[in-house]
Amino acid sequence: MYVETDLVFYNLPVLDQNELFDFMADRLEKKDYVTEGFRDAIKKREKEFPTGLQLQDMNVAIVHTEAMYAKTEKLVVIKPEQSITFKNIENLEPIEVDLVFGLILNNSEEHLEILQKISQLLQQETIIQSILNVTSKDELTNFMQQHFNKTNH
Amino acid sequence: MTKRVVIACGAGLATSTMILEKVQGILQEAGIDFSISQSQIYELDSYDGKADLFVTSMKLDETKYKTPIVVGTPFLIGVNEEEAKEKIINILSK
Repeated sequence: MYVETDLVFYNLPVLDQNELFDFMADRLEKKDYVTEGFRDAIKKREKEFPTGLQLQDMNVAIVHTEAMYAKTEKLVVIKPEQSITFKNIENLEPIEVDLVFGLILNNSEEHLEILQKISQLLQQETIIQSILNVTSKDELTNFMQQHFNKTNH
Repeated sequence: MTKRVVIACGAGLATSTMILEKVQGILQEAGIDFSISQSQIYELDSYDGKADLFVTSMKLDETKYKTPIVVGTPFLIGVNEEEAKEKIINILSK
């Protein structure tokens, strides 16, 4: 199961990227899903190679590290209380991001599947609209679990 | 002749995989004979001049490379996809 209930966060009170990444690292370390180096690696990567994507109605970021820092394949979903400034992957301009996907990828065969599903999600206007309309953690969790977990055993 | 395409992003893991899927489909559909590989952006130097096309997740300084570059972000977000597709086919049809 890629999306776990306790890795979906709705209206998370974080103010900037640093707080967001620390929060993610805390949770993921506790679950032993990432190595100790994850915290610094994800901050450094986002700085060097930003992952902000400007969609039609919403900006998202798909933050991740190199595979060596991940012990499993998971997806963290964070809707911050206030939008967080990221840089656009394409031209490095600042953009305000309303939804963050934390891709925990260790380059196993499953990682293709998870990426394909993210790709589908980003490119379907109707899906993005549904995410924008979410009003609670339960709704967000259900939505993500339906989208990402449905073909799992 | 087989066209050599390299898809690159920061980690060579996530965004390049998503772009690769799309580009593969485009080239197959266009009937172009190709080989495709994935890399990290900082590794591109070693492919420069040897590959026929780079598709990257971010804008690079094109003057630094001999190999032509197309930005693959449209394939991630589904905006301006046709334009990027045409660019790719044009470069590889030369």
